[in-house]
Amino acid sequence: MPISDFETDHGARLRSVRRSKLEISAKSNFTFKEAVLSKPDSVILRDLKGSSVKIGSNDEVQLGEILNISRSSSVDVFVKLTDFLNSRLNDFLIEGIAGIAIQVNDVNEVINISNQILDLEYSKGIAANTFELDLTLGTTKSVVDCFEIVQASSRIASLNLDEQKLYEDLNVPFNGEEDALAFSRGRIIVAARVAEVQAHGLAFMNNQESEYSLEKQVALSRKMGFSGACCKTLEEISYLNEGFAPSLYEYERALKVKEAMEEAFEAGLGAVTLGGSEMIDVAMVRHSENTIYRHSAVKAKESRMGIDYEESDD
Amino acid sequence: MGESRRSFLLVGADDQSLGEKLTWNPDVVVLDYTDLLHPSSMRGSMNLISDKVSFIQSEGIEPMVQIRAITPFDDLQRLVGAGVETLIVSGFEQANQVGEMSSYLDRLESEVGPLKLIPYLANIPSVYNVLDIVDSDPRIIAVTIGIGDLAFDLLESYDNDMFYFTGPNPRISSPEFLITRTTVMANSKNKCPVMGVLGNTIASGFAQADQLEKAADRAVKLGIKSFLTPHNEGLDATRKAFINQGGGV
Repeated sequence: MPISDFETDHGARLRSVRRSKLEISAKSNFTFKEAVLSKPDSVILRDLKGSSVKIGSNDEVQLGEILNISRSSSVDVFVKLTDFLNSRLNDFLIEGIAGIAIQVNDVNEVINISNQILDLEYSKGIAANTFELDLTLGTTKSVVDCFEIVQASSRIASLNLDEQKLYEDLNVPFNGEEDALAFSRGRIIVAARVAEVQAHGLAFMNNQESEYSLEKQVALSRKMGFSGACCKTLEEISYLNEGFAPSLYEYERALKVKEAMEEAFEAGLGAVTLGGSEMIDVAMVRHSENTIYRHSAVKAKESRMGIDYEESDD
Repeated sequence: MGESRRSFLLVGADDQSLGEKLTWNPDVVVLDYTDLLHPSSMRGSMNLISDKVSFIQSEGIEPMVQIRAITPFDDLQRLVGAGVETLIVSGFEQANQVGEMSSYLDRLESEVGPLKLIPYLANIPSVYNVLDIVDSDPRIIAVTIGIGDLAFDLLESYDNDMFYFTGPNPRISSPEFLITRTTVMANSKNKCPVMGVLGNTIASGFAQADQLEKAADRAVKLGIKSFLTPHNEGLDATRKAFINQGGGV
């Protein structure tokens, strides 16, 4: 007997695995080959000139070559746009690209870019809604309007905050001691959930404290509701990939909770003990299903990427 | 004065030590016609407003007044007629309440020139509606958020600890949320800045300087741009908090 409507409502939100989004630009200190070998779930290409991508000071790779490599390694490729010019979209939106990463300020911009993409999909004979939007919000206005923004197009896959720009918009110098974006983070997490998309980003942690580590920050971020985050260095990727995935312990516990509750439900009970001491109830099934589903999605992604991580049991 | 106004000294409209307090060197002196003024002194203080405003201006300090949203038109006329250009107004819970005062100010501006408003968000409904309130009148140049007042509005029981913090207030479960929500909402409308309240009691001589400094430091880093305070220690805390930080109303 099904005890939740998991598959029909928010499974899609968890299916996409983009724990680590590596930004690749002319400032990068690695080659594209090194980037792919570090196994990011997705890459965001920033500095495109024509059909080539400038990576670091020397490496210049053709977009076609990048897509060949990304296809074989199951890395999702996004192109970062800094404006809404149709001519550039036409260059970049080709088969194999996952979508466009772009900063938006309001609903109209989302509708505009989405319609431009639809026209290109049609003219290139590509199925409608193939290309996704990875949206970044960098103004207080866009944060306030984010519920409308995130529901303005079915292409939207994820919401991000441009923290540096938000600090500038608020005219608050970033200090690393207090979180001037506490509300903004919470708002995009909730808005993303409402629209069944993912929120990407990192929780605030005082990075001047001795106990700070990226590992802790990612763990806190996942607890808050973030599903992934951008990074600019190869060293960050493994922390994001591991931290934004359920651990083996979480997965196995979720299986036990689900199994116990299904048995309880069959017996006409709404709550039952797990392991003889811990009381669990039907409300926890949804969380367990989230964990199981997410674990499966991560494993499927890693399998496609040719990764066989040894699972931690934390 | 542009964005130079960071320290707002709150004094009762009948405060006998105004002269001494002007030497504390605030950017603005706010004559209070709300909690710092006993109702029996209201009429007398209204009659002396021109003298007070002239006195403050003679020291090169900008005068403002703090009033309730329900202030009668005649009193408003008296205040702005004395040379007050900016009104800090407590009691707005919704945007339509600003509209009522706006109609008064429309009439008064034909006599005295442009006026400005700073809504004082002193309870939970006012904070909840900040976006609409900020958007309700172009005269609004800032909003004030009193975290301590919000705690009073929420809590049912007396809590002595609360008196030690009225910047970011640990007695409110999530001061970061309240402050950063207000700064983002207000900023999204015409970049409206948010002023904090820095004080543990309106009674003189009971300021906790170290606590005020901590509160001011945290609040500035969360996006607060200026402080309203009844204490000399609050002015000092304001000045310290804004060292190397942008701000001002």
